[in-house]
Amino acid sequence: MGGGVASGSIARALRKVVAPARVLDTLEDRIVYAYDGTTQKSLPDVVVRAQTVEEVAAVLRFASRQGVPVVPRGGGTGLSGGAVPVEGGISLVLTAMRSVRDVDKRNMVAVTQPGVITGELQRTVEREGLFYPPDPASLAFCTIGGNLAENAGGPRGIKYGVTKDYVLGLEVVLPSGEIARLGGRQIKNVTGYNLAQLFVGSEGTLGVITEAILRLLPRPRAVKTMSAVFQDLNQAADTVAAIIGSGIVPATLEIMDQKSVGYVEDYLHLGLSREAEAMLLIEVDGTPRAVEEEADAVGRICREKGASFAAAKDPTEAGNLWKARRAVSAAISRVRPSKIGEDICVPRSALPAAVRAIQDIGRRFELPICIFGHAGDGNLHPNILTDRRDPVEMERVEQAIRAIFEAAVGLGGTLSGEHGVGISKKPYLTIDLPAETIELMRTVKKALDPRGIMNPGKIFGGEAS
Amino acid sequence: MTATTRDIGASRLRELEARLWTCNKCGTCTSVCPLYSIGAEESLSARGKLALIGAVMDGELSHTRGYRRRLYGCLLCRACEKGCASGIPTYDIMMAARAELAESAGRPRVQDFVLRGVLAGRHGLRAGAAALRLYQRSGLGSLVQSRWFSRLLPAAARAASLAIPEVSMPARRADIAPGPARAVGTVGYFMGCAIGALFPNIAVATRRVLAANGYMAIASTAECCGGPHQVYGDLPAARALARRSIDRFESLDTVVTDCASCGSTLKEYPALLADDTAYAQRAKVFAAKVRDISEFAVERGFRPPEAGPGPVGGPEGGGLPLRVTYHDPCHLSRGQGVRRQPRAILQAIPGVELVEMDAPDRCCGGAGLFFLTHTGLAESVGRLKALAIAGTHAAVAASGCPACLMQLRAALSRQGQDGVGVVHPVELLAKAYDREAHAPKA
Repeated sequence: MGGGVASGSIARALRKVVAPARVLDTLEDRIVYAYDGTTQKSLPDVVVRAQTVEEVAAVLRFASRQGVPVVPRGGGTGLSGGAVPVEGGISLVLTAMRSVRDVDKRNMVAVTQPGVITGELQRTVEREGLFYPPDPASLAFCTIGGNLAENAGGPRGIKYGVTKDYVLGLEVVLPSGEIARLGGRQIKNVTGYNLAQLFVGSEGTLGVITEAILRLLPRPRAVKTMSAVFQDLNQAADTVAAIIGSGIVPATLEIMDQKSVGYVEDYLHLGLSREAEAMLLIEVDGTPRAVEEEADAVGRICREKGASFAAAKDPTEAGNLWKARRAVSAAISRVRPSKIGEDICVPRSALPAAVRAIQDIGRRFELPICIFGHAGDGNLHPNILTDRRDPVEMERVEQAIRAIFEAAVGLGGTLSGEHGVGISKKPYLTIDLPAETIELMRTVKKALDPRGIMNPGKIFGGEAS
Repeated sequence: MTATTRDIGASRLRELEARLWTCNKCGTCTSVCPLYSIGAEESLSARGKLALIGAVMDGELSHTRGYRRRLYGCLLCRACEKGCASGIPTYDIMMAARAELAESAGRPRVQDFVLRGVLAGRHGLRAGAAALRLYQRSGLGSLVQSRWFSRLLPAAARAASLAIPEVSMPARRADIAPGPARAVGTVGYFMGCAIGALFPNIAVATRRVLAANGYMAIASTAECCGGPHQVYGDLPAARALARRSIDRFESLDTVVTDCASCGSTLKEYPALLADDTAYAQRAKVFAAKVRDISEFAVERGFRPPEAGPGPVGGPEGGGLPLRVTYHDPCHLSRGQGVRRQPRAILQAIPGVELVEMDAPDRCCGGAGLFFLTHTGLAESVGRLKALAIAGTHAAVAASGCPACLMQLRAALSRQGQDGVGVVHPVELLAKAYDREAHAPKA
């Protein structure tokens, strides 16, 4: 954590390279830029609220010269600690760069600044009849810049993929302060390395994304939202496999277990069934006719598997189902003082096994674990409800997390589907990645950021301990 | 643990501490905060303020001027609280933190002068006219500053002159007492300070509406409910005023008010006086009797005004041919859950066409005295509200809160929308009753 003296001198120097009003260094300002959605916190020495790419470049040139850490920050809603300045330095806040520069209907691309709220971008392109599918649960308050840095996913991943699948081009500021333009508005581009994609999911460790060119789709003409409630969690998992096996690609295929549903019901009182072991939230979209056919087929499969099935009759009912799903993460945080949310992703076929493994781990370590997530992607969010201030229990939590990761990797899966490594998963990196792979990543990092100023303490460093 | 008057706020804050720590910094509050949306400044968000309050409680931050400034950089609109899935009582925590700050670091003297000397003075609001002149000449930017009259903000004075209606004297009881011809009941009328001193016409309208429905209103001169004192962390004064209100009105079965902020403060007396052995129970009984005028009217099945003969709105007919839009005051919608009733009143008026604006319950930025203490932020928030109103092409914007009415008037004026009328719903209802009285009976 940076000391007060250093903090003042960095701020003084920064006020000479960017407009002084952008630089904040009071303790009050540092406190509010110390945390992100993990509730982990560490004070930056100074906060810079950049407004232009030139200001970002000036900050990085300065930081490179002085060897000061730079931690890029969007909405501060990340779930792996990406925006937490664990080694102090500069919290580089990009929320003031928040204009959608262009919605290019002919080429079906949007050009956007990093501080644009994801949901705002979606509304903007939807007004033009276009569609930006990636939809992390935090879409009403997370930023595109953060989505790109973490390669955020969301419920629509099963049909539409994740953030990376929409990136055609990026403007990035390298640690040296140079500005690089990678990719462009073309759909196809193999001229040289695919460097734009290198920055997607780089968690702010390689540079700062200052503009993105994103691919858009036509807005689907019809959507149908459905729910299926199961007495047995395994039946739900089997149903997921059956739906996918039938050749239908739903726009979303979400699962919530009994605990998750119960806590959401405590909070929202939507009339969800507390007795059932699992609930699926299924959405199909496309042309009105295709949507009707697919919805019928989904209903048939769910009923065959013993579900109590219902299709939303109107947008209000559909909205309530989504409300339930989006509220899970926050609703379960009301239950105990802390929650630790994980983000494993397994091959879809391993979903039932993964669910069972997590349930066993909860029993073995005597910890309440809620399971929900993107069943269609095999991406589950086991959330351990705990109390960070109880060291005895936290020891069991650490063991349970490790067991969950080992189970996921054992099933051919990975530590994180859409939250990133950051600080949360870095102690477990070696469970998933062989030493050579980590070394290759470090080589890339060194090549782009030789002085190691970009978001130090993230992704790497846990493997040595 | 019983708190002394010196540490009620600190004790409240300690009670709420466990809730404070359940904030998982998810950021949902940033998506609904009218202040955060202006410039995405983290210190204006609820989670940012909770982090600062937590830092003070943990001893990582002291009661700095910066802390004070950030605690007061809040509309108290409760949007964050309603949007918080973790259920954090941000409003209560903010109020407790302000009280704790006042107890440990003292209250600015100018604040005491206005809140204790004028609003809570022994003579009720007899001194209201003086307060008004103070608003109009100086603005109240200094309310949250600590130096005596040293920071009179010209911007606040401008905001005040735009927003505050010209009034020569506070309304007196005699000015506003037309009784019903035949009484079916008697209610207490709690005339708050802003209505009494700044909007006597609303007080007249409220009593006209009560009378037209057969209710005799018993009122004293304008009261202060203690809301402003709570907002500025002066819990001892707020509690004294709460006890006074209870003493004055508890013999009546119903207490009606036409001020959203008063209503929400009166209904929350039980929490304010929870540890007052003499008043805790009485506060509960009292609070259960409090109704916003719109709530009361709908609950008692108010009589819809008659359109009268002839074309609606014609020279000899009743009714009001008006396109009206309704702004939900925070203290009515989120504060008291009263959203339907004011609209029901408007819709009952023959000729009125109610058109909903975009996000009618989004805070207008008035927020008590916020529009005077934080002119820049309040202007930005107000601008969005004015645009939403203009988007409806309504001739009149109605709202049941005097602070909202002042802010709407100023915000509309800044957008060049001076032509849009700004009224309390009861004013329209009273007018419709008046027209009916003048219309020739068939």
